[in-house]
Amino acid sequence: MNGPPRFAVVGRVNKGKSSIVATLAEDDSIRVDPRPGTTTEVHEYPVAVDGRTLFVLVDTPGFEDAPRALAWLRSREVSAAERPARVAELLRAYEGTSELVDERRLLAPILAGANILYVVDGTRPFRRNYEAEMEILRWTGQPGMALVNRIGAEDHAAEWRRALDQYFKIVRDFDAFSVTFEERLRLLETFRELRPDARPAIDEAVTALVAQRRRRRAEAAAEIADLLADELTLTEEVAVSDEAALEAERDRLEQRFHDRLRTREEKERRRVEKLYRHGEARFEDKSLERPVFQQDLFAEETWKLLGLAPAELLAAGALAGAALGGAVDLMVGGASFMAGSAIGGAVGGATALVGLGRRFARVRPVGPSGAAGWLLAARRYWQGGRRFRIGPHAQPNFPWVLLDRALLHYDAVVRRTHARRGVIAAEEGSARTGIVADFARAERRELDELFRRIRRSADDPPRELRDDLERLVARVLQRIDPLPGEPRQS
Amino acid sequence: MTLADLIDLEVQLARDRESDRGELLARDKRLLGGDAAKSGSPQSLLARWLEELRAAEPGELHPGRAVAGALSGLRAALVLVGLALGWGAATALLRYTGGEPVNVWDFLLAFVGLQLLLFVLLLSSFFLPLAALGAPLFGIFRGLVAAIYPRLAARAMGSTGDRLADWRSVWHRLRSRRSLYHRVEPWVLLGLTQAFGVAFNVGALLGCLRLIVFSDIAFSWSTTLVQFDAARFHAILHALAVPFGWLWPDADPSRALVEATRYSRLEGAYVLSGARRAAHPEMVGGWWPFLLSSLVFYGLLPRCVTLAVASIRRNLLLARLPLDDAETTRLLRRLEEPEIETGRSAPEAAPPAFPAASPTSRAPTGTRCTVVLWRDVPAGKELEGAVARQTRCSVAAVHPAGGRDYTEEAIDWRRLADGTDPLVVVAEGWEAPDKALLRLLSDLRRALGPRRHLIVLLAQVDASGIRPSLASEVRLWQEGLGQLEDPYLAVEPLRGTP
Repeated sequence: MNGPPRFAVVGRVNKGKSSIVATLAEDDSIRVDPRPGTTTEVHEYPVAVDGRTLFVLVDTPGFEDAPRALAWLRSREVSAAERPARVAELLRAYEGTSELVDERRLLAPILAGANILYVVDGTRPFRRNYEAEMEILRWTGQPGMALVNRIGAEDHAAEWRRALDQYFKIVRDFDAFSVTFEERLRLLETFRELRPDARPAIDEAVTALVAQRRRRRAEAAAEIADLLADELTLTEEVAVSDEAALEAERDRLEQRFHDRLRTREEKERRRVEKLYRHGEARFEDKSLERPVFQQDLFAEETWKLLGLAPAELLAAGALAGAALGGAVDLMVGGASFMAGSAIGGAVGGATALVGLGRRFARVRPVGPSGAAGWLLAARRYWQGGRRFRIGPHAQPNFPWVLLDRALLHYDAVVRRTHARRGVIAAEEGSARTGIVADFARAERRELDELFRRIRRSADDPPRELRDDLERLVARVLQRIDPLPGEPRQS
Repeated sequence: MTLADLIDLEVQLARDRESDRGELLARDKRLLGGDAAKSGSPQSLLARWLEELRAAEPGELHPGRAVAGALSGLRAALVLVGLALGWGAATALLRYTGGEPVNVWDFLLAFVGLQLLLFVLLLSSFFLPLAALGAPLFGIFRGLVAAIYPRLAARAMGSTGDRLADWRSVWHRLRSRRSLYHRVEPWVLLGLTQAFGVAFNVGALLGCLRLIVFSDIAFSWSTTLVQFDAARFHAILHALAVPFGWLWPDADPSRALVEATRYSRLEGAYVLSGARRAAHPEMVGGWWPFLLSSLVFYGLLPRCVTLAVASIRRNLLLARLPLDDAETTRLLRRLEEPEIETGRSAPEAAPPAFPAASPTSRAPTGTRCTVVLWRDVPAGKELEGAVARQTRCSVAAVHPAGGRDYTEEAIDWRRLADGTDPLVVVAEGWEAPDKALLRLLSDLRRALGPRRHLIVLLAQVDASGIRPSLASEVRLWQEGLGQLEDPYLAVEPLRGTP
């Protein structure tokens, strides 16, 4: 057969063929439905690098009447060498009829040279009638491998393996619904055994997939860093002409401010989902793996479960302050007897303590602090109009909650395969479910210091702060989604 | 990479920040084709990418060339101003109307002393930490540009419009990314100032030459200090002339010239002449080779060298920019690495429409039933008992169908089911109600007539016993078999072991 190698995914209806194709092709628009006959046509999914097709995955309709087709094949005695021709004869014999339609459609690409990926459901018991399908596939003469998918909860993989081993030289477990990226790569690498001449193409595809994954992770880090930088520097202002309107304006301003924070977070999520090609399946259900990140950004439970605990926040604040004070101690050659570290730590801890219990940002009059601020406020009061500002959000836990939610969302996105649809059962857990609580102390301190500096320069945050944040977030994402060949971080 | 490229790169990065990554990937692959990796260095790859972008998106803002052009214009203006100032300074310093001769001290202080001092300060600002000397200068420069930038942009783009906002955001972004390129900035600024310096000295040189060639000038020197005699002054001048004296001996003033041109304003005459006019007219004009050489060597030449160094250094730094910040690294990865596409080649057809679930069948009236085990459902007494309990009929016969060997074609269903009602098909709910089953049920209906009851019982049968199928599976089967539109066909879960 000319052209790139083809791998036809075949099997009984509703055994997860399309799920496997959706996962391998990262295409969540592929229809995956428990109703039989969802896939009625042969669909090709080329895997192309820079426009060059390396190999093609072929999704096929399922076997629906295999015993009858096998009976037809056996109705005339033929030698082993004649069997592929006999299968081709079957296709011709029923051409133009409504008989054995699906069998003919799925066998056509195999007779044209496609390799076989035979899919079974390892959570259901093996039944002898499946041998009809395997026998037909053997009659085609094409090399094939069997994939034991997992649709339900039970485990009958062992009995399936005993049967499959007799018909296929390669048998692999492949859970299309929870397979990791690394397992996907391993399956692709197995294709090389099936088709040795396709080895360069498969290798190139694997390399490109790893590069793409790394690129996506870097892009996701940038998205999360942008989110943090934007939210930590967000401010809203309002002008009121008389004091009576102030209260109403204040509420409106607070609401608008928090809505903008929520909208910005939503935008980041959509962009990360899109990066990983989760365009169809939205993470809208509250019962995802880590349900907390789906709640409102300012929900009480969110703040209870995510971010850092008050003690951790105090420690982070004190450490950051102590680091600054320590720099002063260093500059004076230790003549301060470490007073800088002590004072810095105390001030950092005290700052973290202030407003620890607040979830929402508060409205303040616009203007400089101190006497100049009083003068400005007095002048505005005299003139009859006042301007109020809300933001940047000053609560010390705010960036941590935000980061935690972004990381949990990222974790859910990278773990979700493109075969999954609809609601996914939630994992139980009432303890803190966040990720940042597990950060090493040094990492927490680094991030805390960055958050402070970004907030301090809210009017015009320097780019390098944002870039530093991106680098730190990228390091965390590498732990969440490590790639083959990368050193494992603790 | 040029300065224009660098600015356009930053603008493009800012523009792409909000764009969809997939679209960016597709655009860049389209622009560069499949040979991005062949572009060599990251700089040349980015330069090529920017060139393609400018050509492909002429409507977008690509301010690099405009800014580079503005810098060239500024340099040209500085050159013109420098030429005029130099010419003016030389004309003023060498002004001679036949009265008091021109004091060479003034010339040396203005064109050698002051210039050397400024030059040393300039070098210091580069060799000492920038924070000590250079940074304030740059701060002033940046402040100046920041102040006039919005007006310039508004004038260039008109007072309103998105373009103006674009230009303003460009300035903001370049300012926030300054630290990435701060090494280039001093050399750009140095190039501009030294272009002015070179032009100033060239203007001064031309001004001097005009006066020397087209007028006569009497030079002199004087001092109030008694100890500062001609011998000491000559020693200083000789030291100054060392760098160029070997090349042009006349440019090293002789002791005789120095002694002959000492001037006394009290007497209104050269000290040695003792008269109103110089005793040696060829001597009083003899200073010009030295003065011009000093101007060239201590004024023009250092500026030329600094200008050349600034230009070379700026170009080198631009060519060797690390381009390792997070955003550019991601961009380079996007451009260099192969893009893998795994999507569908053609859109999927609409899903088949499923009819509503089959209506509930009326209850059978018989006392014996025939059982068909579909697709290798394991037979056994337990299963027969379960069927009997649920249908309230004794099991008269059990037949397999849908198995590996396709035996049902040869079965005479009418004979097998004779005298029994209903006919029960037991299937496993996790299997799909496929076309083979639909055919079997159609065959059964044809054989048994329109009013015999057909019951499909769905179960999970394994070593642990018989369990009813899940409600979702039963629903699926009801939908699937509903397409037969058979009022005497029922689909139920097999309740199994009590």
